[in-house]
Amino acid sequence: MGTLVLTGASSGSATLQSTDGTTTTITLPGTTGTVLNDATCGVCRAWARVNASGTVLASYNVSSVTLLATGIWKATMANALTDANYSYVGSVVTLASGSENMSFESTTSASNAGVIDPTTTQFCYKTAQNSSNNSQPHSFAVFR
Amino acid sequence: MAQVIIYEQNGQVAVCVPTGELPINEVLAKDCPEGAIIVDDSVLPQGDDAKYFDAWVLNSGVVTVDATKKAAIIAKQQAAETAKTTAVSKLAALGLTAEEISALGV
Repeated sequence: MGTLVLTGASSGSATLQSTDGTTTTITLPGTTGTVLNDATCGVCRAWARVNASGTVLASYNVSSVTLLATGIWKATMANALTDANYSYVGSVVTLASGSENMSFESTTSASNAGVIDPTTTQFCYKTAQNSSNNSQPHSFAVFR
Repeated sequence: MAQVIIYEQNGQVAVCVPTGELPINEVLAKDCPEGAIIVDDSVLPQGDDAKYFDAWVLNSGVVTVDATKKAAIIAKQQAAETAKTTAVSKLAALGLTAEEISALGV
């Protein structure tokens, strides 16, 4: 038995019609499942792709990225989120041997005083684990 | 050439790069502290000096590289490289292959 996902409606009714013309009307939200929509699933609220020179190649709902120190960045969103309880993910392109990980910074994890804890408009992250790497191509996305 | 916004924070230069979603003057007012200025990115240190961001200093709207800070960064990098080389030598002496040493993150 497969799963049918209806999106875009969390109230009212929906009519399903089979190929032989038989119809079935269901009331939303369904009684046997969960209505999946933006409110329950969340959506990508912001993202950006930054190249090695610090230029933003493309973005959505990000007004700027600021280099605070070697490898330490602050992203600022164009429009604030409803709260700071968002999920954020990111990745870094490795330029040298070894591997690099992007980490998200807080005032308790970073020694740089320019780093702030996440707010509805800003969060800080680290792209370089090695001080010899000033900047690396990277990208991030924010979900809420 | 592109315009960026620079300011100093706790003795460190910060470079704010607008994405273009908002006008730069709006980004200046919204994303940066008072005293930040808009400059062309061509005035920022270039070439080898661009690698030593933590040695950048801002004086009267001009960003330069502090020679003392730069020397300290280079010394720190050389010390790290020396420590890595020493660790690799010791691990190799224990019979580990280059692949095994690399897997250890050295």
